[in-house]
Amino acid sequence: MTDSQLQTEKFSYDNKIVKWFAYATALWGAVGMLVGVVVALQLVFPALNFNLPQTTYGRLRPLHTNAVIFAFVGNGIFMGLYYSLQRLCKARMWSDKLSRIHFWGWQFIIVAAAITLLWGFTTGKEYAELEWPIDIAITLVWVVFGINMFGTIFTRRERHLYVAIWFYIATWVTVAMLHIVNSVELPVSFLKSYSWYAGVQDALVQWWYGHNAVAFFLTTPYLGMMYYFIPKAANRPVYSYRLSIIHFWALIFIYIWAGPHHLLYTSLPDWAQSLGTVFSVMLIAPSWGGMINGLLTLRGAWDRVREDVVLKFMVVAVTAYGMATFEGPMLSLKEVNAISHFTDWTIAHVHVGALGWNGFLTFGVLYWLVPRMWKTRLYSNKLANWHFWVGTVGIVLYAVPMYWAGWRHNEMLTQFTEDGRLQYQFLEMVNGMQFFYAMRALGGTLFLIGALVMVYNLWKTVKSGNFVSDEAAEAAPLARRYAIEGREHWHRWIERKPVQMLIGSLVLVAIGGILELIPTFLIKTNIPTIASVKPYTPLELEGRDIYIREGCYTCHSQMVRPFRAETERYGDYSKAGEFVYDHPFQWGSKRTGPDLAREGVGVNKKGNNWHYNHMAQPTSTSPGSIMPAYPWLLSHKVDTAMTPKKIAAMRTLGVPYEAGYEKRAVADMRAQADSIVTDLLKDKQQLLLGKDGVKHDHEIIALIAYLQRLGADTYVESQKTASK
Amino acid sequence: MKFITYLESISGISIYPLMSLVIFASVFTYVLVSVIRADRKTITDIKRIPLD
Repeated sequence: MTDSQLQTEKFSYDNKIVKWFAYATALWGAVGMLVGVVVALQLVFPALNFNLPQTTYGRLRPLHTNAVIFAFVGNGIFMGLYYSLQRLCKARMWSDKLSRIHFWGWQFIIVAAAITLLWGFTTGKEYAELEWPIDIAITLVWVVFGINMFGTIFTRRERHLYVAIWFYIATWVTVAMLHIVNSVELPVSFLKSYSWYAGVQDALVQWWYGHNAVAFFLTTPYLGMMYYFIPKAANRPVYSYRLSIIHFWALIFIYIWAGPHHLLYTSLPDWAQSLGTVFSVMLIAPSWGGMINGLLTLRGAWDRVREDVVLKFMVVAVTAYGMATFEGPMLSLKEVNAISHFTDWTIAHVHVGALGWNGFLTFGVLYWLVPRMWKTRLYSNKLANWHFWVGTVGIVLYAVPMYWAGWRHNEMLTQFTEDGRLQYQFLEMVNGMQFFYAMRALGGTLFLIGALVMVYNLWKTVKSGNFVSDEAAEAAPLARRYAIEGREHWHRWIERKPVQMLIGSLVLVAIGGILELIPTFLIKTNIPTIASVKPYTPLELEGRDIYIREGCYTCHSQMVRPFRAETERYGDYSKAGEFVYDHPFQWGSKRTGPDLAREGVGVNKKGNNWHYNHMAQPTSTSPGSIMPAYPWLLSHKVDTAMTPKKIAAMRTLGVPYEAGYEKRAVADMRAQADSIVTDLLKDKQQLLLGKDGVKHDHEIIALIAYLQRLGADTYVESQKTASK
Repeated sequence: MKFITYLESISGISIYPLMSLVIFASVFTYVLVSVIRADRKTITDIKRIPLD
């Protein structure tokens, strides 16, 4: 008996879960974008940091990125996937209970993330900031989602797995792999852990994860949605199914290798940098294959694009995808990367993707879905069109000033005077950015206003319609045995086999991961342990944890690249051996403030009192600075009960603290803190003292110790070499 | 000493980028050939799945 000969079955699609995810998408989208506007404004008006720990830039910025990526886009993915998967499989989601656990589990994670990030609980690894209990919760919820997705696929009534489902499968398996590998960390307490990896290895794993979070969270599931919703909205099949097959396999295979392009000119081995560049350039082919496939689906229907707001959003989304995926490979070329890295160019690049591709595709899908699920018409086409235009203008107003700012940043910081000195101080460059930052905030605000108008429009639509919770459907079940008609090529086989598709995807992405990561891990046995590089003292370690907690890495790098403009400004370029005890690494990805890798030595060396006053009120030492003030560091006390545990944890991770050192750690910490306090008090009348005066256990003392240590180990070494 | 010196001490390190290229080229060629040879009617049926 063949599939079509079986009697049809009646069943229903679960629209309720799609509705919940749609609501969550709209809600978290508004929240994430609002926080984005706030952080943008903080760079123009530092007073908006409000001198409170929970409202400073360093804590809000990770909240913005996490909210937009995992809350807005995350819920957007689940909304699109739960709707399309059921229809493509001609089956209801396998388990309503698992759908609910998935939904509430994900929302719980988002709330937990928001609270912990604002309260300073962070791993300090970009886009993977959440602490270990939340990492475990993500893993569990992801497994629940996977079981439900595969349960649905296994009980489907459509033999063939449509291309969108391959993208969903690859997304699920790769995100699981990336999240688990990058989140290996050693807990010290309930909300504090250290990355298992250190320095170069940590950087490589982190950016392997970070880049592929873009690939497999922001791209592949949205490509799956593109392959479903554009044909639905245009009412015509995808342009080329053959192209989609090549698009899928080539994209997932190549993407996984491209991570090291985030680490060009760093201490990462050259071969890994080159590998990242080569695969990034190759990535343009499948990316554009996908974009062309999406756009050409509308061939012959371009007249409808003028009328249909859903198609308008989708066309701009796919175009933005094409722009971002053209720019990405260009940014991976070392010469271009030298300019873009650490500047606002990268910020412009990611926002073309985030606002254009993810934002607009989500909006398009929402405008298409809501009227259908509520069996009504969109409340106002006029408002939706207005949203489209204000959003588009918002993207342009966001991106153009940031591109300009990126160029200007690089231009100012690489200029020398005729007698060979650096022409501009870092602060002069920062002050030159204010106009661009203001324009960016305006662009972001317009985008947010558009999104809020959409929320209103959709809410009115919901109010005017009747929601169909269980949408009736009918289809024949699959026969136990499948009779192959005629000759069959291998891909037809795998298109029917979800498990094989899962394994095939995993093998392809794992190849890239393994070949890239293993050599870098093998180096561990050969790593050049620079003799003078020693573990941090307990006080410095505590200071480093404060540095991580306050999100200093969101504005400051710790990686001097081998360029004259950088070595002149900051000191000797960074070497891999300097970071062997850095769990986690803190190289950063953006220089809104200067590099700090050599903050404690050479041309950058400042007195303890400078650091004290700078943290109390940055403009007191650096007029025109846009850095937030950190007055609480002047009164909050370091929790010394944790210090021995931290030392023991570091030893477990391979940092060579001698056995039993944790028993002496607190005494050592006191001695080092006392010497800093004594030094500070020499100049007491110059200090911007807090209400409690200056005490050895204040957090500021630990932070000063850490900042003074930066670069000190290798500086001693180079001085010795010079004197021989 | 340059960091690359230590990397070079791993035996056969150069095989990694080479392997990656060979694996990619093989998979890509295989997919390409299979796709080109795929049956037209089947492809047409499959691409209509979201619309049916």
